[in-house]
Amino acid sequence: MTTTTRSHRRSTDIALILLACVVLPPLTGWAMPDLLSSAHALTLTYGVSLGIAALSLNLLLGYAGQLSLGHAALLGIGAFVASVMVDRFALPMYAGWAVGGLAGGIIALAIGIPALRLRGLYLALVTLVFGATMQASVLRWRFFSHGSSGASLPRRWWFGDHILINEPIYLSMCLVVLVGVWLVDMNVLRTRLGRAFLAIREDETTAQSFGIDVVRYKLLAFVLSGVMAGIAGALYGGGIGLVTSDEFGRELSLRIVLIVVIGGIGRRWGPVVISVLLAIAPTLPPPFRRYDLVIAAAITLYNIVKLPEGLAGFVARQRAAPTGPPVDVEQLRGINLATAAGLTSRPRSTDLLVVEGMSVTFGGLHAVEDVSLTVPAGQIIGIIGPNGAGKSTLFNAISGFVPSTGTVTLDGVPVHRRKPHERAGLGLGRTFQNIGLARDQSVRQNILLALHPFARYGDVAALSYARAARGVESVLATIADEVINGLAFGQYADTPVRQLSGGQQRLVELAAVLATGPKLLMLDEPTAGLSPAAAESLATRLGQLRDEHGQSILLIEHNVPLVLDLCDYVYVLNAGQLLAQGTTQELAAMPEILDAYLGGTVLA
Amino acid sequence: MAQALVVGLVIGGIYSLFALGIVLIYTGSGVLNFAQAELGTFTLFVAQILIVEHHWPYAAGALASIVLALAVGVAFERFAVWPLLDAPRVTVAVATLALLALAVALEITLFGPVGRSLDPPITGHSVNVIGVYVSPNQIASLALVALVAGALAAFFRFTDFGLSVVAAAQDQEALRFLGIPLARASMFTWGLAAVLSAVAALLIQPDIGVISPSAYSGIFIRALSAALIGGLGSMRGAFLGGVIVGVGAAAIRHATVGTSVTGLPELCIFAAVVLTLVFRPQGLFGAR
Amino acid sequence: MSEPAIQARQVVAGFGANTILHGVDLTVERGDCVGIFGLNGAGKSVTMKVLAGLVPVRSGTIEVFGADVTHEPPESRVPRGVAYLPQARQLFPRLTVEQNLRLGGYVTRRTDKAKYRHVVDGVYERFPRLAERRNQLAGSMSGGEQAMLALGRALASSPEVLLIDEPSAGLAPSVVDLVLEMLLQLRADGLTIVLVEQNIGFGFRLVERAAIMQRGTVVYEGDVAHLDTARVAELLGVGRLLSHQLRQPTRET
Repeated sequence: MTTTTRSHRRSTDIALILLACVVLPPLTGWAMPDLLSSAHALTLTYGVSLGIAALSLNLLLGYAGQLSLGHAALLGIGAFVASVMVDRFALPMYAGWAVGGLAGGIIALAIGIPALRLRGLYLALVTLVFGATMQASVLRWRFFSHGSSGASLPRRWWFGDHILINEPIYLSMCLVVLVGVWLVDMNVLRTRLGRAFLAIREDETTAQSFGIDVVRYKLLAFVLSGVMAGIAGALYGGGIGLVTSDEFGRELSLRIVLIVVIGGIGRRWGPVVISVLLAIAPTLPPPFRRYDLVIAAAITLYNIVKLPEGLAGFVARQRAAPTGPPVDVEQLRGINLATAAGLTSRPRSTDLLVVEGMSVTFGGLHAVEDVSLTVPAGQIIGIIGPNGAGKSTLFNAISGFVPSTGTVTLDGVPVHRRKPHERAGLGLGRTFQNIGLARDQSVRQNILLALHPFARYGDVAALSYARAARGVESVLATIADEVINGLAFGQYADTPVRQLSGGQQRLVELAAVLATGPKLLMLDEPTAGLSPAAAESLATRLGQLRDEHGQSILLIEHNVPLVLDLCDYVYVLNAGQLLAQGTTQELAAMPEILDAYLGGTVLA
Repeated sequence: MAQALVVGLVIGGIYSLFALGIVLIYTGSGVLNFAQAELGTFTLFVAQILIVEHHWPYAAGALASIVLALAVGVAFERFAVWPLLDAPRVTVAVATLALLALAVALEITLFGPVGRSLDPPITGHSVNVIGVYVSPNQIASLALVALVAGALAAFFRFTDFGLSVVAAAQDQEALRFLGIPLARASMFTWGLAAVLSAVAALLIQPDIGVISPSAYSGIFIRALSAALIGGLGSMRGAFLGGVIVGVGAAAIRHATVGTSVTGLPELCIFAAVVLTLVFRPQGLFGAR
Repeated sequence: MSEPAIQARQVVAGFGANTILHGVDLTVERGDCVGIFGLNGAGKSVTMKVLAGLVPVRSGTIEVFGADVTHEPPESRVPRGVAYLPQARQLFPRLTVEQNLRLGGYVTRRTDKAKYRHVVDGVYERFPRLAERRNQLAGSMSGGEQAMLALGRALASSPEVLLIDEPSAGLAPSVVDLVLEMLLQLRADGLTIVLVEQNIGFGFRLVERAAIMQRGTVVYEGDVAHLDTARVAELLGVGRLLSHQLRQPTRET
C-alpha cells in the first residue's frame, strides 16, 4: 500500500519536473527575452549536454571504477552520426539523438571488448589513444564533414526541410533528455546493475565471488556510458548547429573528467551543477572567463591530495575505531532465505561435491597435487594441515579462482570448466580468509550483492525499473531485511562494512552467504579473528546448521580441536598432497599427522 | 623513402625521451603520468617567451625551462605523489590528469591561442649523408638522444643511487628494510622524468615549428603508444618503442601520400597499441 | 653491554580492522639464537615485521640495544645493526647477484667502501656459488641459490641481529640442510639470530631458546631443552593430535 502511494507520488513528481522543463525555458524566453536570450539558451544547452556527458563518465568512473580519457570522441561520434541522419537523410532530430546514442554504444562495445579484459588503467590508455585517433582521423573524414568546414546539424522538428525550432525550445528538449538520463541513472543504482558496478569498482575478485560476471558488467557500464555520451554529443551539436572535429579533442575529454572529480565521483547533482557552471563561466566577467579551466584544474588537484574522500570510494581508508554490535554468533539466523523464497532448490545428490585428481601448478611448483575428496550431503568435512599445505589453493581451485586440472562435480553437475561466478550461481557459496565483502559498501548492499545470482531480470527491465525488476528487487530487499534483523544489525544496516570489527565482518559475510541457501558452504578459516568464546559458539552454530537444516559444509581451519570436534570426516593436507583422511577416531592411529605439523621430526 | 625514415628516426628518438619518462615513473611509482609530455610543452612556452620576448640567449632560455620543469616535477612528487603513497594508483593517475589539465589551461590562458615561433638554436644547411639530407638540428638531436640514453644507462648501472632507483621499481619494501631511503628515489624519478620532458620538447620544437597549445597535443599520445608498444616496464622498450612509432608513422605517411583517408598513421598506431595490449600486454620488450 | 639485543614489551599490532598481535613480549639477549614457533595466523611473521619496522605498533614498545625504536621506520633500524630476511626473500629479480649484494650493503658503502668490500668478500667466501654467478640475474637462479643470495644480502650490511623468517620454506630437503649449516655457522660466529619457523624439527636443531605463539600472544618463552613433543604440541594448540588424546572420544567442554 505505502509502496504504491510512494511510487504514485514519485511519478507525479517526475511529471511536474518534466512539465517545468518543457514550459519554463520557452516561457521565460518569450516573456523575458533579456533573461533568456538565444545566446543564453545556447550556453545553457551546452551546459546541459555537458551535464549528460558528465553523468555518462560518472556512471563509468564513479560506479564501475573504469576511467575513459577519450569521452570527447564518443560525443563527437554521436554528433557526427546525428548530422548524417538529420542533415543528409532529413530525419527529425530525435532520430539523430537515437542513432547518435546507438553509435556511441556500438563504438564503446568495440573498444571495450579488447580493453576491458585487462584490469587496471588499460581502458584509460586505450580510450586516450582512441580519442586522439578519432579526432585526428575518422572525424575528419569527408564522409562526416564534407571536407574541413564541419558538418551541419540543424534542429529539425519533423521530417522535411523548414521546420526548425528556436533555442529556448531546444533547451527544453535537452532538459527533458537530461531528466530521462537521470532517471535511467537512478534505476542503475537501485538494481543489480549498480550493485555489480560498485562491487567491481572496489575489488574485481570479490565481485566475482558474489557471482558477478566482471567482464560483462564492465562492458555494460562502458556501453551505457557510450550511449549517454553519444546522445550528449548529438544534443551539443544541435545546439551549435555545426560540428567540427576540433571541438571533440583532448580538452573536452579532460574537462569532463575534471567536472566529475570536482562534482564528486559517484554523485549526480555535483557533476551536473559543475557542468552548467563551467558552461556559464566564459560568459562571465574575468577572472572567471579567463581562468575557468585553470581554477577547475587547481581545485581538482587540491581535492585529490587534500580531500581524498571526495574521490568517493577511491581512498576511503578510514582509520576510525570499529563500531557495531558485539559479535554474537547465536544471532546467526535467516538461513536459506533464498531457498524459502523459491529462488534456489535443495541439493539432489547424496555426494554433493566430488573432486577428483585435482592439481594446481604455479610456475613449476605443485601447490596442490592429485587431491580427491568428497563432501556427502548433510555433513561437515574439514581440511587441516600445516602452513603452505595448499589448503587455500585447493579451496580457490574448487571455487574456480585458480586454474586446475582434474574434475569438480557439484550436485551432479560437472563445474570444473565453469567460471567462479557460474559456480556461485550453481549453489557453491564460500567465505574468504581475508573476508570477501565489498568493504566500502553497507551491510545491506553486501547482502544484496550476495543475492546477485537471484536478481534474474533483463538489463532493459533494470534500466527502466520495469515491473519484473521491481518485483524481484522487493523480494531481495525483504530477504536482506530478515538477515539484518536476524543478526540484530538493524542499526548498522547502512554502515560501511569497513567500519565493523573483523569478527563482525566475518559474521556478516557468513550471514550473507547463508541467506543465498548454498548447496555447499565453503568456509576458509571462519574462526580467524574471533575470540576463543566466539569461535566455540560459531562451531556450535555450524553444527546446528548441519543437524537442523541439513547444510553441507567444507571447512578449512587452523583450530585443530574445533575441527576434530565438529567434523564428520577430516582430510589432512601436507605439501599439496593428501597425507591422511578419516574420522576423528581413525586419525588417532596416524602419528604422521602430528609430525607434519611439527616439521617431520619427532622431538626428544 | 630513406629521407622519410631518417626524419622518422630523429622524431622517434625524441618520442623515446618522452616514453622513457613515462616508463621511469610507471616503474618507480606504479603510475601513468598523463602530464608527462605537457610539462615539457609548458616549459617550452616559457623558454620561447624568455628567448624571443626577453631576448635571452637560446641556451639560457633552454636551461631555465629545464630547471623550471625539474622544479615542477619535484614539487608535484612532494605535493601529490608522496602523500598518496598508500592510496590506490588510480588516485595518483587522476592527480596527474589534473596536472595535465592545469598545464593545458595555463597554456591557453597565459600564452593565448596565437601561434608563436622560435628559431632553432643551430642554423645552417643540411648535409648530404649517403643520399639523405640531414639538417644540423637533426644531427644534434640524434646525438643528444644517444648521449642521454648512454648517460642514463651508465647511471642506473654503475652508481648505488641509480641502482636503488631501479630496485625501487622492483620491490619498494625490500629497499626500506635494506636501509635505503625510498623518498629520494621517488623524488629523483619524477624530477628526472620532468627534465627529460623539457629536453625532448626543446628537441622536437624545430620539427613542429609553430608553438601553440594544440600543436603539441599529439605528442603524449605518440609517446604513450611508444611506451605501451615497447613495454611500460622496460626502459629499453621505451627507447625501441619510440623509434618504432617514429619510423613507422613516417613510413606510413610516406607510403600513403595522396590517399583520401585522413590520419592513417594515427589509425595504424592505435591498431598497433590495441594489438599489443591484447596479445602481449607487457609490451614487445617487457619481461613478464 | 647489559641491555638485550631486542626487547619487545606488550606489543599490539595489526592491519586495518584486524588486530593480530595482542600484547607480545619477547626478549632476545646478545648472541642468543631464538626461534619463534606457532601455527598459521599465530602472528609469527607479523612479530618479525614489527621488529623490522614494516608493520606499525599500536601500543607497547620495542627496544634495540637499549634504544627505543618503537616508531622508527625500517630504514633507521638498519644502521642500528638489524637485518631482516623476509619469508618471500624479496630479492630484486631483475638485478644481478652482485647488484643485489651492493644494495644490501648500501648503508655500509656510504660510509666505508673498504669495509663493504671486506664484508662482501666474506659473503662470497661463505657462498662460493654466489661468487661464480655474480653476474647472473637473481630471478633466474634456483631456489637454493636464491636462499643463499637473500642471506648474503642481509649479511652485506654487517648486522649484529639477523631477523630471519622461515628460511626452510619451499626448499628441497638437501638445501634445507645446507641452510641449517650456514645458520649454525653464523650462530657460532656470535651473530644474534631471531628465527620464525613452521618446521619445528628444523628450528629445534638451530635454536637454544624458543618463543611459542598462539593467537597473537607468546604462550611460552624459555629454553628448548625444557620442551618435548607433547608439550610443544599442546603449546601450539594441536595437542589433540597426540595419539593418546585422540583416543579419548569425549568432547571438550
